[in-house]
Amino acid sequence: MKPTQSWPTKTEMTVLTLLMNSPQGLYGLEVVEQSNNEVKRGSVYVLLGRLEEKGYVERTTPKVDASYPGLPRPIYKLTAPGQKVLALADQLDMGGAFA
Amino acid sequence: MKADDDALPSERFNKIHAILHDCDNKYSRDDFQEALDYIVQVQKPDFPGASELKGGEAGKLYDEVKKALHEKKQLLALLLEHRRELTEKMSPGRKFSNLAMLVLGEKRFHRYVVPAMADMHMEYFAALKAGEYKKARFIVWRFYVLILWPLVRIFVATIKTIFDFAHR
Repeated sequence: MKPTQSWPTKTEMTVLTLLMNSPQGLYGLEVVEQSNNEVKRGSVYVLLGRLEEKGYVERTTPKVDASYPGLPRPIYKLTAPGQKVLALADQLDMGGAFA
Repeated sequence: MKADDDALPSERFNKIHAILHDCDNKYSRDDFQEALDYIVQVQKPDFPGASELKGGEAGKLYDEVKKALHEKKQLLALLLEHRRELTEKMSPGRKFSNLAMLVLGEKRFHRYVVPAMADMHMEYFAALKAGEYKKARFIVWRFYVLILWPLVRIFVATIKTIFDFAHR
């Protein structure tokens, strides 16, 4: 892992912490609601997408009722590397040090 | 149909009758609404010529028009209901998603646009279910602004850079 490239930023760390507190996973809008305005509606999926690219977050799409005409909402969960990064940041007390 | 207050009630009814029996659909909903309003006025006891309308030919026409208008109103209500049902079955943003996939590429589209669109659909259908049609429309527009705003900013920044470079 190259810290300057892969270490989460401060906002990404907030998202990871929120996901750690919800083992069942969170929807994007739930992340926005629980972040106390730190994560905006317009940028939440950019953040989650970046975290997914880094491998800290995984996305699962639950099956929805066939009569529902819309797209199913993805649920985001913390991965093992994500948990490791959070534990590491906690140990070093450096959440968002590379922000 | 223009409102013609000077026309006799029977003349107005003839006009309304013409509207109702027009099969080419050249009259708008406003025309039908105006006719309905007129019928409501006619039904009032203090309407001038009301006594004349109750008997004779105008009276018959009145009944006929009233019945026809009632049927038309029911038909319009049915059409409106049908349109609402169709709206509830169709998810917004389909055409936009084709364009977005072309511009962003499949991977980015699925990573950034699809989740935002899924949220929009959830809120949109919840609003429709609650009968809040204006809110549903607002939700769709808010989605477009949220998605398009960063693209507009990038476009403006690019134009600005080109402009600055050209004037050096």
